[in-house]
Amino acid sequence: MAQLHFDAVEMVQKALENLDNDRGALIPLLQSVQAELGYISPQAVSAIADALGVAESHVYGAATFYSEFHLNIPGQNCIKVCMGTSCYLSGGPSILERLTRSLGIKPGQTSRDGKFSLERVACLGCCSRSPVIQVNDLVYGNLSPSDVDQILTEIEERA
Amino acid sequence: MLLTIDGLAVEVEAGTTVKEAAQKAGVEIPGLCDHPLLHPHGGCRLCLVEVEGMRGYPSSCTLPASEGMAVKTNTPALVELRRTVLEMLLSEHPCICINCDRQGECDQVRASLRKVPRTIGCRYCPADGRCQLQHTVELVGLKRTELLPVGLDRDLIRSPFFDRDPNLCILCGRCVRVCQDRGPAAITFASRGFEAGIETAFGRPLEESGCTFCGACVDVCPTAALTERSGRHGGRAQETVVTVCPYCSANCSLTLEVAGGRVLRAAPAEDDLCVLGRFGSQFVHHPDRLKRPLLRKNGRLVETGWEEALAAVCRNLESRRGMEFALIISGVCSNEALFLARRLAREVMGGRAYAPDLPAPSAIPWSAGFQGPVLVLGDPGSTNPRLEARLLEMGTRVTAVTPARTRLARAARCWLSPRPGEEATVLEALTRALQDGQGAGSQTSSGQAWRVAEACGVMESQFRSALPLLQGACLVAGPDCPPELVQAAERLARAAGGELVAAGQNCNSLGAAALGLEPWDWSAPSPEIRSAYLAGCNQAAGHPEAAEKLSGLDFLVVQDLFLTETAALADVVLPAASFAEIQGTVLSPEGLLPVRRAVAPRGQSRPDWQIFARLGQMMRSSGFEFESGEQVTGALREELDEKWQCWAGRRGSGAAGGMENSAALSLRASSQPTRDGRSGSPEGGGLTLECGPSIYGFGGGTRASRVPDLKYLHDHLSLQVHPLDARALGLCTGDGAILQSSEGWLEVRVRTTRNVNRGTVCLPGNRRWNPAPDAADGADARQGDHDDHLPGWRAVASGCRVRLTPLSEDGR
Repeated sequence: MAQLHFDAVEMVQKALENLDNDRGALIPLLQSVQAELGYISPQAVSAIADALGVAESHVYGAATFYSEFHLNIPGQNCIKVCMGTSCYLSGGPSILERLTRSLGIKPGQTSRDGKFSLERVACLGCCSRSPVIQVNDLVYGNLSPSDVDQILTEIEERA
Repeated sequence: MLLTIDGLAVEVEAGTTVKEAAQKAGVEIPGLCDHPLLHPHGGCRLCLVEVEGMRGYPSSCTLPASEGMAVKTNTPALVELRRTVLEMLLSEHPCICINCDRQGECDQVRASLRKVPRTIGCRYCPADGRCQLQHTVELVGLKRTELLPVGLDRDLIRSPFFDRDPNLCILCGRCVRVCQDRGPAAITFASRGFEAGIETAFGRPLEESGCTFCGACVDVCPTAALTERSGRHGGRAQETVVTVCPYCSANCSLTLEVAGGRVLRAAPAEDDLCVLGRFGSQFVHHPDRLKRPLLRKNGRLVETGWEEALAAVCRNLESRRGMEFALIISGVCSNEALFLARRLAREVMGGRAYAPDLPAPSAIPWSAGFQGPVLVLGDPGSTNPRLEARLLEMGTRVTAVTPARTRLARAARCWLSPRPGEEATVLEALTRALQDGQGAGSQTSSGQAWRVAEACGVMESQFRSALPLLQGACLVAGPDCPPELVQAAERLARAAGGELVAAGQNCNSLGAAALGLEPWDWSAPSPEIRSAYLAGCNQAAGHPEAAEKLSGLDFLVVQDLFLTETAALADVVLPAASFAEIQGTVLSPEGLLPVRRAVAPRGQSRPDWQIFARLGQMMRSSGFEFESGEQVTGALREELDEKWQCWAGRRGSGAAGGMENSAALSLRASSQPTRDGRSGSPEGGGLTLECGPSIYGFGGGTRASRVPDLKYLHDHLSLQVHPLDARALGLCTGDGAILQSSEGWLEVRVRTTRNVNRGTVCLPGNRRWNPAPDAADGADARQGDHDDHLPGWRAVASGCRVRLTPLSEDGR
């Protein structure tokens, strides 16, 4: 934990070198942390708050506002559930609900074993195959909730 | 400037908003995000108005009034707009009562609907009747909501003192803004859309998010999203009493809300309150309050009546007149009590009257403000939050000298961080550098000065940058500063051509000084005391020497609210009334402030002054014939007024009270334990302990520890360790560890933070150190002699060397 903290401090200091040390640097800092770690760790939030002289809550608020930023360690397999208009109307919510129940996590979270993370996205551009989910690079279309468990087992076996 | 609101002409000053102008004209415009304490926000869109010649519907809370403006607040278009906005707000707010067909009938059916665990409508809500959303619905005239409710099902979050119910939150942002304005910024808007809510960083508990529990967010919340638990189901206040906060020397005014003979809650009156003022009054109704006098019979304290107890006191005191008697009374008591106590001690007993809350406090310039630069010692945040807030406002003029990175140290222009216990040396070095700087460029000796400071852990650059900030500086020392530090501060103030402001420990420390009570100290070679009368002070806590001396006395009377460690040693214990139960005065830098009675004294407890007056009468002395507190106030007013005039004239000397400051300072304040372990051998471990006070355990904690949530916060304060030190020890936040000094050991929880320097660990609060193994035999033996109340623990001083050992996984 202490180790992580120091890495975060160093990382933030390095990223700050190319930026003005003011509140405007917040988003670029978050972006560089995410590029480095894949997510925004609590240590990074505290290091950014320290560097910019703002409260941790301020950094956290900004990080949660933009869907671009993740606050959990990404899982080995990232599942994106499409909630675009087409997928939403043809059953996207029930797919998401099923995934939530099977994995025991809410969108934005990572399962405890670190295998899956779940995300809801606006549109994956495959409206003709709605409802769709994307697991890593693969898109699964025309889904019904009962397909979900099969896909999950498939992925786990592949791993 | 003149403008019209709904045809009514109103004259306002420039800079007034249209909403404020309307209020002046007697027109109420609804609005939920605007609040008198906050800057205009314009978020809720309920205060929209129409202005002639202006396009659209501007929000009146952000619109500055201008000359000749014609404002309409109630056109059909506006009403329609407001209804729509309100309806959307209510779709995310539990409001079944608005749509209920049997509105108004439920009160006849059940009287206590609001005691349900979950709020589903107004009648179930703790804020029913004082909810501003409810009021707005009535004002706007919304009778029904057509929008489908968005079912929110978030968990209620229990925090110390108040509950946070996210389901009732309307995201007006008042709490976020007030928290930002006050400094902590513990909460923020998180996420967005339907998930949006008010959260701490990572949803951590408030106690880990920098919250100071000042309660400002609860006070500004328009709904019941933030509700204080105290008095939650006590009904509405039947009466409000404006009085003075009984804790620190800030003397904030507070409003006690009273119902059914109980103090429901304390609300701010004029001043921003801190956690103690806002939530600290619950001790008044604590079940452990002393309700009857106690008398020691056959070695045990047993309840008795007032007459028997006072007769016993009388009998014993009469045979012990003279200089071997000491009366020790602290500045928690009102002037009336101090005045009569002094009379009893000096005139009746021929002994002396002492106050433990000195070195002599001086008046804090609240109204005049601090002129010029300021150098702050210690952490005012934990002894006088109002002073801290005042100093935070002037951050760029502040230099902080403190080992821990306090809020003030972070905001200060310059922060010198010596190792704990070496602040005085740094001040001496600054004094020398200043004196040398005034002479002809003696570079060499000022060079030596910083070398001295460097040896204490202060960097040369910091030391040099602090020097120019000190010309004419006012030095501010809190009651957490040991006497030698205050002394050094006084010398530095003299060298810098400034003054010293020493904040008192208690609400009436200034009164104690003004009434000429002498500073008390156990380690001073004062005349041998054989009998003592202690009022409002728990001297035995944390100081085994004091406890030993007290238990060795021939006769000891203790007058207090609770059976403290000291009271347990007494021959007679007299129950005193608390601040909410007395009528009296305290002395503030602005003059006498009234303490007003809100509830009847608990049990048979009596106001302190009454007890002294009765004793005086029983000992057949004149000067104690008082019928009421007002009469005593009248008798002492003249003396205090005179004293106060004297101070006003002498402001600048920094001295206060009837004694020489140097005399006061040469004595070691009894609240400061000894610093024997300070130099410590290196094998004592590589860490230096900083032992600051904590606001949650104010003073000795006699009152604060009886407020459950204050006690919880105090007991859960973590040991602050620098992350690098923690890494070296293999510790991280949340881990348990054993902290060991030469004097004792303690189990602590660790929190890593960069607010302490490397090599320093910081443990706030009054901790009960377990005696060190080699000293344990003696302590146990001592404990065996008396009943369980004899404190076998001691406080360990700042600056001593400590060793930190991680607890093994199984918790050992």
